[in-house]
Amino acid sequence: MSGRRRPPLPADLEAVLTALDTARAAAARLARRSDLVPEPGNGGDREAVLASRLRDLEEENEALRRRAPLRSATPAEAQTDLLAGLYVATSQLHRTLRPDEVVSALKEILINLIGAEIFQILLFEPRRTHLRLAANQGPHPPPPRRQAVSDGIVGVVARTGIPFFDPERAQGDHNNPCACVPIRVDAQIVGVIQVERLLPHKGRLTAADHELFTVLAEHAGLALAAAGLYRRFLGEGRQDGEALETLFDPLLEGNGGAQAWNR
Amino acid sequence: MEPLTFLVVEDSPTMRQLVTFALRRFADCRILEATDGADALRKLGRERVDVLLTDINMPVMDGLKLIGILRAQEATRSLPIVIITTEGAEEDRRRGLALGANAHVAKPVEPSQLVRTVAEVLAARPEAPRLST
Repeated sequence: MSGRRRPPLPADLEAVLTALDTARAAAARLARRSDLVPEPGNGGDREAVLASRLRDLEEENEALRRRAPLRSATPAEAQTDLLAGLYVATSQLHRTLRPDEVVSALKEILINLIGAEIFQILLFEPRRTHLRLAANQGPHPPPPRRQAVSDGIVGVVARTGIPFFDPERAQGDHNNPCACVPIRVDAQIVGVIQVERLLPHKGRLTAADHELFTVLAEHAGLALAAAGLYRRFLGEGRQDGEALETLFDPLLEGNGGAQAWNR
Repeated sequence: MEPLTFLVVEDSPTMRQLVTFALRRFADCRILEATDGADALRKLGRERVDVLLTDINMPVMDGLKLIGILRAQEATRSLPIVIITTEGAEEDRRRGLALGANAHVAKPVEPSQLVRTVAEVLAARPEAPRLST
């Protein structure tokens, strides 16, 4: 390496550069070996061999360098990634009260943070005997718009509230999803998110994905409930601002709300 | 010394926020956001940018068109570009790199992976990245 002072680099790049230096030193040692020293009258061939070996080493190191960014995250990095996902997911879900925007945010989160390719968001009908499709992502044909809670993995998750994660499969179908989690508001299950297929390079859902997915579903429940309430208020003929004020009215002191909660 | 300036070009608010959040790992950085290629060109006309990170599929002007324009202009010919693609879109990745993007990150993006890739792109420049500790 030259004597030029190198600015500080991340640890993984330092490791790659160290590996490169080691390989170069090995190449130099090889070059010094007697069997590679040019013999009289045969120098051209020996030099060609040396040059070829050096090229191989350089290519090998280039390949190593390219592979380096694909190494798995360290435990600390994985934890930070999870927190970043949670932060972004909750922030996006709660940035609006408009139902279409909440659903759009939820779909974006499932695609971009979870890595879901084909999925459905199903909500309980009022009588709670069936789930109805609220939104979906994926190719045609679309999934059934309505499903009995007595049926399949979706039904089990909707009835029991126990999340389902297939530890092996990244690709399933409507009846055999690779993940299905309950959507909750407080303790009540209000629906499920079912993932049929993950994006190709996702491979499978990790423990961190399970955690993110479960928390996401809980926040999705609150965001959808708030959006549903807001739509109901708008549906009563109120304008945007007025509907928002009406939502806060029960919380205001003098209206009974705050006094009761301050006890 | 001027802070590192990133320009994140993404139509998805979720992805923009995630990428922005990840890039804050770099100390003293400034992060600009654009929602498509045309918006990015407008911002590049006004601001100095050290690294551009762009999605491929966007409305108005997609990422491939943006890279083509940037590489055709003297001022942005060597601007480091990281493309963010959906892994299934291998053709997008290949075309983006062929047009002159320096690196590629697949969705769903792992923030730590993104930071490593950007640090690597920056390390190839004379100025080194400054990561916060």
